[in-house]
Amino acid sequence: MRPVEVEAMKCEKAQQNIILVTYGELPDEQMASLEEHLAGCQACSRELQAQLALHEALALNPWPIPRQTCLRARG
Amino acid sequence: MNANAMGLEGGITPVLSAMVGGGRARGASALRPVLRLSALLDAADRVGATRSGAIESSPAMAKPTAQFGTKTDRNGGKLTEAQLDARAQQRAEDDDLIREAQRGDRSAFDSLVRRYDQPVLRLALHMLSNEQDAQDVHQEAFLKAYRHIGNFRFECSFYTWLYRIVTNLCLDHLRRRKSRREDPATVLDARGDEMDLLSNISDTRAMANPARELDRKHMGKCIHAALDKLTPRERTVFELKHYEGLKLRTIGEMLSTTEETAKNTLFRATRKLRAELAELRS
Repeated sequence: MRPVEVEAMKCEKAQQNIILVTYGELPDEQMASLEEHLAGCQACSRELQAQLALHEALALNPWPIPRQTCLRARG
Repeated sequence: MNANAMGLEGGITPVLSAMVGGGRARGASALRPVLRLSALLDAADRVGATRSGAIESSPAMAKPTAQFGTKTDRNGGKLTEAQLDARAQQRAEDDDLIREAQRGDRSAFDSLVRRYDQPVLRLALHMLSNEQDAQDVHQEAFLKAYRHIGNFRFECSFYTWLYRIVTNLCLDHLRRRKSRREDPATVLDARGDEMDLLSNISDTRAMANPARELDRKHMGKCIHAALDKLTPRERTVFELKHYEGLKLRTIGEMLSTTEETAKNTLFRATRKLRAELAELRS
């Protein structure tokens, strides 16, 4: 495997881990290697920012809560 | 949104540390249970409950890792001892109620309904964005649970079993909707009137900053449109993860698949959402 392919694989894995970390699903032991990768990879840092921006946007637009009428059985 | 606005100026590490414990479930928090399923359950008793497509709990639906329909305060993705104790107690109480319900005690099943009717309705509403459909799924889910409670084998928690019923019913609705190409932005309320879901979100900031409110509403519509572009399965996994805060392992069990598949579906859904939102906003 060429070095560039190895790097692409590392980025793919890191970008998956970015999604996992925002949901608290990244195992602790993988945190350090993700941080290390992000420190040296601008593309993945941008991915992190994009992921955080998605969370921010979703947080500002919560789904409506069911109204009381919705909780009543019909008929 | 620039790096400074996201708090990235101090480097990536603090952001990651802050994110552990992030990704909280969002959703309804204070709903009063008012639903009465008694009439429907009475009818199910009279009909004798058809037994086709029996729903059984399976060993694969293992112990859940997130509380049904509640926000989970996280400690690096791990539950505190108090949360574990509370969960164990709830599970024990549920199991007692299920045993009584299996012996034919209707009031025990009613207690289970009272425990779970809000989370079930909320999940259905999140997934379907339609009150009428959500109510249908809500009632259908409890009817199915009632009819098949005898098949429950205590190999998983009641909520995992019930959630599986709900998500499967929602998936059916979403698939039917896709095939009918319904406009998800036009939804019907309980009276059958059209309503704009986004306009129903109360936000005290609206009066203080109308421009921001307009932006927020626009973004809300973009999010709605982007979610609708997901496949039913992608949307289900995303909803269960993002809004309900369930663990990927639990989601995999609920959807009769592996944690790895649920994880890959979440990756796909998240990337599609981001790409779709970027396109809609540009």
